[in-house]
Amino acid sequence: MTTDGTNNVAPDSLSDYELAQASARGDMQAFETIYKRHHRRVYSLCLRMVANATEAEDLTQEVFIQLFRKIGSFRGESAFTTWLHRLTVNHVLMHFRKRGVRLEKTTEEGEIGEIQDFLQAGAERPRFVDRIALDKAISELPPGYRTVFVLHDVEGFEHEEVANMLGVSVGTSKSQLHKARMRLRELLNKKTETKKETKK
Amino acid sequence: MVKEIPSSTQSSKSAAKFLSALTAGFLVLNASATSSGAQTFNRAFAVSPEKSELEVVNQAGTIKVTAGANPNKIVINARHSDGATKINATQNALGKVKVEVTGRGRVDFEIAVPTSSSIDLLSYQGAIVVKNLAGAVRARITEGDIQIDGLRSARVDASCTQGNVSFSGEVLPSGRYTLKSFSGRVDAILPADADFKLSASSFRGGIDLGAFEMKFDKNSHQLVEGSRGAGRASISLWTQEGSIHLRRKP
Amino acid sequence: MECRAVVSSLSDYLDSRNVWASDDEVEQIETHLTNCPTCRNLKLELSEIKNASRELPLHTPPTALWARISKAIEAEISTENGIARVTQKASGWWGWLNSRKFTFSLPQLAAAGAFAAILIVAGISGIFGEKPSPLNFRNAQGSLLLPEEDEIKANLERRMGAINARKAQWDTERRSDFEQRMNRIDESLKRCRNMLEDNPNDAGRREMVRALYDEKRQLLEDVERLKW
Repeated sequence: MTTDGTNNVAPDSLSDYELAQASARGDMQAFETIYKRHHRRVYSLCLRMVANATEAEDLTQEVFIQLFRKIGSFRGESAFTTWLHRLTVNHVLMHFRKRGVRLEKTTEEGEIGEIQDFLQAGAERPRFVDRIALDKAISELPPGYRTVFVLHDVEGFEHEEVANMLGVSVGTSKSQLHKARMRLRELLNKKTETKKETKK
Repeated sequence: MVKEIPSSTQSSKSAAKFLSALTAGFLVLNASATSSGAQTFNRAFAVSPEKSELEVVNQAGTIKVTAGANPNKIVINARHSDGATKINATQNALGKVKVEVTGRGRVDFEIAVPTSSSIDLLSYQGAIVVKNLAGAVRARITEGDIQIDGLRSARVDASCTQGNVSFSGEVLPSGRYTLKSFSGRVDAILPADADFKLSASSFRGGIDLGAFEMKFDKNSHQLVEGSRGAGRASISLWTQEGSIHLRRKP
Repeated sequence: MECRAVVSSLSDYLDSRNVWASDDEVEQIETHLTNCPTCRNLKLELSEIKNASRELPLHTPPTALWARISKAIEAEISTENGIARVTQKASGWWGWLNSRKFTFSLPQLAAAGAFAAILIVAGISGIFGEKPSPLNFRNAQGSLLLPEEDEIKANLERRMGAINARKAQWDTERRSDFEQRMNRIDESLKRCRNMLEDNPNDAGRREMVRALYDEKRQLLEDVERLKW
C-alpha cells in the first residue's frame, strides 16, 4: 500500500498500536489497515456468537464504527487483539441484552437424558472432529451454551472472565460449558450416523 | 524379459547363513530367525537396467538404497523384530518392484539396485539414505532425516515434515532438484561449477548460500531467487521452520 | 466413583488438570477412567472437541462491508462536524472530530462509490443457513490469494474427509501424532496467509502459502499410501 502523498509511512509495516494512533489522528488508510488485519476475527467471533450471517455483518460494522470512535483511547497496555476482542464481545452481549436473549438457559432434556444416551451408546462411535462440522454444530447450540462455549473454548477466555462478562457465577459458566460440549458431541455423532446411513 | 526369482521367507529350519547375492545368477537363500528374535527378509527381482523401478512404503525404520554391482537385479534385504509386521514384495507386469510394510514394527531395509533405477521411497518414521544413483529419486519421510549422496541424477524430490534433508551430487543441465522440510534443515552440497536456477525459501531459519556467487533476482532473509551460469537446472529449496544451507563440494 | 459423577466432572478435569482443588478427586476420576472404556471414550471425544475448537476456520464478511463502514464513519464525521460547529464543544470526541481533518484518498472514495453501485450479495458466510460458497477465503479485493486456491482446498477437504472416516481405527498415539502435525502446518498456513493478504502481490509470500498447502497435501498422501 502506498501513501497518499502525505508523510505517512506505508501502513503494512506499522504495529497495531501505531496504526491505532494514526487512526485517532484521522488517517483512514491506517484504519483500513486495521480493518484488513482484524476484520475476519471480529466477524468470525460475531458469527459464532449469533449464528446468523446478516446479524454478524451488522454487528461487525457496528464494532468497527465503535472502534473508530474509541481508538484514541487504546493505550497499548494490552495487546490490540485482546482489546478489540473484548470490545467485540461486549458489543454482542449488549446486542443480546437488547434483544432479550436469556443466557442461563437450562437444557430441555436435562442432564440425566444425556448420560443415559451416552452410556447406552457404548464406545463404538467414530472419533474424529471435522472442523467444518464442529462449526456447524456450534451454530446449532442454544444461545446460552453457545456463548459460553465460544468465549471459553474458541476465544480462550477463562471462566472468571466469562462469568464476569455474562454476569453469572463461575459455577454456572463451568456447567454451561460442560453442557455445551456434551451437546456438541451429540450433534457431531448424529452427523456421523447420518453420513453412514446415506453412504449405504 | 522380466521374471521374479522366488524365495521363501523365514523358516524355522536350521540356521542357514544368509549370503548376499550381488553376483549375477546367484540365488538368494533363506534366512532363519536369529536367537535375538530379529527376523530377516530377502528377495531379489530381475529387472532390465534401463527400466528399473522401485517403490518402498515403510512404516518405521531405515530405508537404504544404493547402487548395486548387479545391473540386472534389485536385491532387497530387511531386518525386523516384530512378528506381526508383514513385508510384501511384488513385481508388476512392467517390471516395477513394490515393497510394502504393514504392521507397527520397525523394519530396516538395505536395497541394492541398478544405478539408473528410478526409486520412490516413503517412510513414516526413521531415516532414508540413498547413495550413488543416477535415476530419478523421490524420497518422502514424515519424521526423520533424508540423506542423499553421490547422485548423478536429473530428478530429485526429497521432502520431510520433521527432519533434515541433505543432498550431495551432480547438477545435470536438465535437472530438477526439490528439497523440502517443514521443520528441519535443508542442505545442498553441489559442485563448485554447478549451473542452476535457485529458489530458496525459509520462513524462519535463514538462507546461507555458502561461497556460491549468484546473480540475484531476489535476496532477502526469507527468499532467494537467482542463478549461476546459464541457469539451466532448477533447484528448489524450502523449509518453514528450519534453515537452508548451500555448500560447495570440497 | 460411578459414571454419572465422573461424566459431570469431565470438563473441569480437562480444563484444570494442573490446578485441581482435590488431588483425591483427580485420582478417583483417573482410576475410573482406567477401568471404564465408555467414560474413557467420552473423555477423548470431549478433549478432541476442546482442541478442535481452537482451530476453527476464519470466516470472511462480504467485500462490501468495508465500504459500508467507511461511508458510515464519513457520514458521522460530517454530521458531527456540522453539529460541533453549533455546540462548540471543545473537548471529547466531538471536539476532536471538529479539530481534525479527515483525508480520504480519491481512489478510496471512488472505490466506495463503485462498491456501493455493484452491491455484492455473494453470501460469503457459507455454513450458517446459506448455501456454501466458494468465496469464503477471498481477500478484501474479492480475488483469490492464489488462483488455484479453491481447487486446492476442495482437494484437501476431500482427502481429509476420507482419512477422518478411517481415523476411528487408529490408536491414540497415531491419531494424536497426526493431529499435532496437521495443527502445526495449519498454524503456519494461517499465519502465512494473513501475511499474504496484507501484501497480495508478494510472490515470496505466495510461494510460502503454496508450499504449506503442498505440505498438508503431502501429509495426507502419506497416510493414504501407508494404508492407515
